[in-house]
Amino acid sequence: MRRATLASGVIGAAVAAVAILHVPAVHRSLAARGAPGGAACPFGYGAGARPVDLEARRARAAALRGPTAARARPALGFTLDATTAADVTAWAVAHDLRCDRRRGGMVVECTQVPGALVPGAGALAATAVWFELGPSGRLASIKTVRRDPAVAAVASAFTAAEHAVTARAGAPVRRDGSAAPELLARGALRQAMVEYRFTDYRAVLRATNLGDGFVLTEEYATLVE
Amino acid sequence: MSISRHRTTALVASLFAAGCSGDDISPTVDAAPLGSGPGATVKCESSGKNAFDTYGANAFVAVNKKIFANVTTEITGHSTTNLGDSFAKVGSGTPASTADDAAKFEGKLAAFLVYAYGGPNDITYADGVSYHGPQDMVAAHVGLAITSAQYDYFISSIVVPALISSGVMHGTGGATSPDDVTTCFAPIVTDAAFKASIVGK
Repeated sequence: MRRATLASGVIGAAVAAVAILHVPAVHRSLAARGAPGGAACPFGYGAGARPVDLEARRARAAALRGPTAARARPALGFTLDATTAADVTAWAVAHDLRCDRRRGGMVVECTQVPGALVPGAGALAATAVWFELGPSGRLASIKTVRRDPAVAAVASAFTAAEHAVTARAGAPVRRDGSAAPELLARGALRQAMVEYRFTDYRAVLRATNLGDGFVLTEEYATLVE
Repeated sequence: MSISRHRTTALVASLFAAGCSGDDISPTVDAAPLGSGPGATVKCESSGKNAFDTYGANAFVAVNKKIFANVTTEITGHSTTNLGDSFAKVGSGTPASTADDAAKFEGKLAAFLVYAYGGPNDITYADGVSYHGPQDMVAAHVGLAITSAQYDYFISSIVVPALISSGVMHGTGGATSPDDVTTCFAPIVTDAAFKASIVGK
């Protein structure tokens, strides 16, 4: 219990750090520096894109760009800068998925999505898939969380996703850690990461040992303004 | 409180202040574990000491700042749905756990991290205010409705990268390539009861 309380505190503290950003004075400071959300939630909940948001997005995209364009921009079967919320909704209805619109409709969150519907990481189902729409109302990024108690499932999913993105988009710019099952299983918080950066596309894959299971997180995002 | 503990409290305060100003100061580490927090007896593979005694206050400042940086990147990218909408409630006082102002939040965070990983129970933070490390963090999550997926994403995409990029050793394990992320940081944040105490509250 003591350890649990402590652990709660650590994450709680980290979460609290984020929460600080919602304190009015901090929030105003962020807004002045170009963070999205203006005088509302800095995460943008309930707020549409504003000029300051667009500037911040451009600055972030510029900082993340690689030197060349991606050969293709894989995004779990969806099309960055093209797929709309209506498309996602139709997809969800067709497959009887539970999805909710968040943040003023700028994000669609779907839970318990079968792996076959978000291909790229083998058959591993997604605990959650977040579709983020850009200012144009078209798909800006997809993020997923896939969890499994077996290290082999997540390690192979990470490898499959890495191979898929590399084959279609190009080589990664950064990797850290190893997704070899024997290494990933050695202890909690062991992690393998690979990042791709192009002029028009960014992808980040992480396989993490969370102590009570293994998690694959994916992010596929457009960098097109 | 012992003289040694007072001394360390002052040291921690000065280091946090230095961390905020970007100065680089190497902390002095006491020979024996000072703190009483759960991490006080959890030993890092690289040193055989707890995390606070191994890395010192500067590293804790660095991790804290990196967490802020990672979250800010998420915010700037306008892509923080994965962290949930609970943050929008902070500062509102609804739920009650969200009532603290920014300065108090930051001081409490610093105090808790130092305490949790084997440092002193109390610190005087950079703002000159004294903060108590042992805190009821479970209560801080009541009403926030954090989901399991949000929690997993936060740990894997915010916390772990913050630890690694702040210099916490994450080798393959063993004397020649120690893994402190796993041996002395992870046990505190990956306890099963820990997650249960946060998610769905």
